[in-house]
Amino acid sequence: MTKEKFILMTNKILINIDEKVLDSLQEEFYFIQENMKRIENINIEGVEPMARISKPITFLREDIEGPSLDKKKLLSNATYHDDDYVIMKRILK
Amino acid sequence: MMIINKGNFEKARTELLNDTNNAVIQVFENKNNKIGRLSDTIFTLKDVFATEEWATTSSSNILIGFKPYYNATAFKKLIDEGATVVAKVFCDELAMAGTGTYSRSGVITNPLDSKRLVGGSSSGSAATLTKNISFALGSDTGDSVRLPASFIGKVGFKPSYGAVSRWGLFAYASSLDTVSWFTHNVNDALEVAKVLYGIDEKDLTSIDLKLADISVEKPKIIAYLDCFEYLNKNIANKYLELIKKLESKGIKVKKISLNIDLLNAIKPVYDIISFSEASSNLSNLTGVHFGQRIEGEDWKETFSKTRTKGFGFMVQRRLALGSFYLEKDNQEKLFLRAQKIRRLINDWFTNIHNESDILIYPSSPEIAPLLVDLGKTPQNFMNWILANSNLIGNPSISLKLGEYEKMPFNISIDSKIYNDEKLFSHSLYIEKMINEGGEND
Repeated sequence: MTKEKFILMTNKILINIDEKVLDSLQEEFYFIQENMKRIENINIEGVEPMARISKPITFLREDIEGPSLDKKKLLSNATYHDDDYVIMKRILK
Repeated sequence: MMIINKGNFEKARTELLNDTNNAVIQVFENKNNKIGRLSDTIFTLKDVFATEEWATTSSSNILIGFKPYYNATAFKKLIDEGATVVAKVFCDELAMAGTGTYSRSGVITNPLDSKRLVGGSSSGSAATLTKNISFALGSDTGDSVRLPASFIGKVGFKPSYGAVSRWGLFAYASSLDTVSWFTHNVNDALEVAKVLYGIDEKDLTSIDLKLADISVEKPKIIAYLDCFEYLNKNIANKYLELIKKLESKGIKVKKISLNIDLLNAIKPVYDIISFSEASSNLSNLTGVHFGQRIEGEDWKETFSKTRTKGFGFMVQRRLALGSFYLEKDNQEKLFLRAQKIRRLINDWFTNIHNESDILIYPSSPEIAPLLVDLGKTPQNFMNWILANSNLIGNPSISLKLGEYEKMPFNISIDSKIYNDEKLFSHSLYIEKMINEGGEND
């Protein structure tokens, strides 16, 4: 696994990965791979994947209005905002 | 039954205000005057629960200043029953580490020996839990309460998945995250559970799991892992002594031969699933609606700058690996395979649970490691064994078994998923038996 590959992957999740993290991933990648090998030889034929513990939620709740948070308070958490909206630089130019 | 160790608000405040271990975010001035089953009971709150009045940062720079403006269900229930929160405490960033060395506040060490790890991610909770604090509300995704509990010799409890609402608990890995807590004894863990358990319409994975009148009950069959060769010899000896003591009480003890392949798979399966879920859950941390935004030339650069500056070493590392596991080429080879092996791990342990009242094994193969040894000492599956209960969702409790080199170590007691009543009844019995031995006076 090359540094470039890790950089490319983390760019996809919008992180410019720290050099120290890159170095540690490179150094440890052998051990990470060894770890992965531990699951390579286990027979999984016919086994259903276990994605969650509880049963999947397959219904939609009714649209019933409930209590909500105060808009002014919510907006106060945004670095840039006016009275009604969060402010971002224009996305479509 | 009532809380045995309620704590002392003023004394706890004094201790917390004098903390020099990077563990404390904020100490509160006022006691809760509400009357309830937890009146006069003092607790600390891990920095991962939403609070209406105060900021919650999950000990990450990216969330400095973030005020959720609502109370997490678990926190609200405690307050409604009269419990007093005395402090918010730091944890490993975004609850993503097991050492106590990754909080934005700095390294949090073991209160019994500052050269040793306290464990994590509920590091601040463990580091500050003195007799003046009744319990510490934390979260456990892999072992984040039960392992630090072993490193400080206190009780750490993780309920069945869904028994306690996760609403307002900042997500790390949603299929594994569990609200969990530290106490000084099993009785108090149960009393806190009685308040926290219950269905919550805001968490669709929550379930209605009853805790009726529970009392000390001797188990009939106890299964134990035949893992002696993987333990420090002091722990192995004490573990064997416990098994013999249980047998001498007329309890049938059942040796479980190890399935090494599956036990070795716990760590990679946990890593793949939790890091992958985290890389999805944490995609909302962009600095747009909340958090510390760093403005770039366009939205993409803003997101990148914010996340790069905001996430620390361990979070970047785990998200990088999560991204790797979810790469197109790895989805089937790693992610789907991990989910299938999770099923096999579930089936292996559930089979043991079905044929016994409880399963026991040491919570760790060693006492709290020295900080200088971090990442240098050889490890085996017993270093990660506690994560099996997160993968399966069953209840698990960790309580003090003994000591060597003046440091404690715990025994873990597990039962089948949703058999939390049974787990508490039998844990009360085992705790009493261990304490009658005089080791933990």
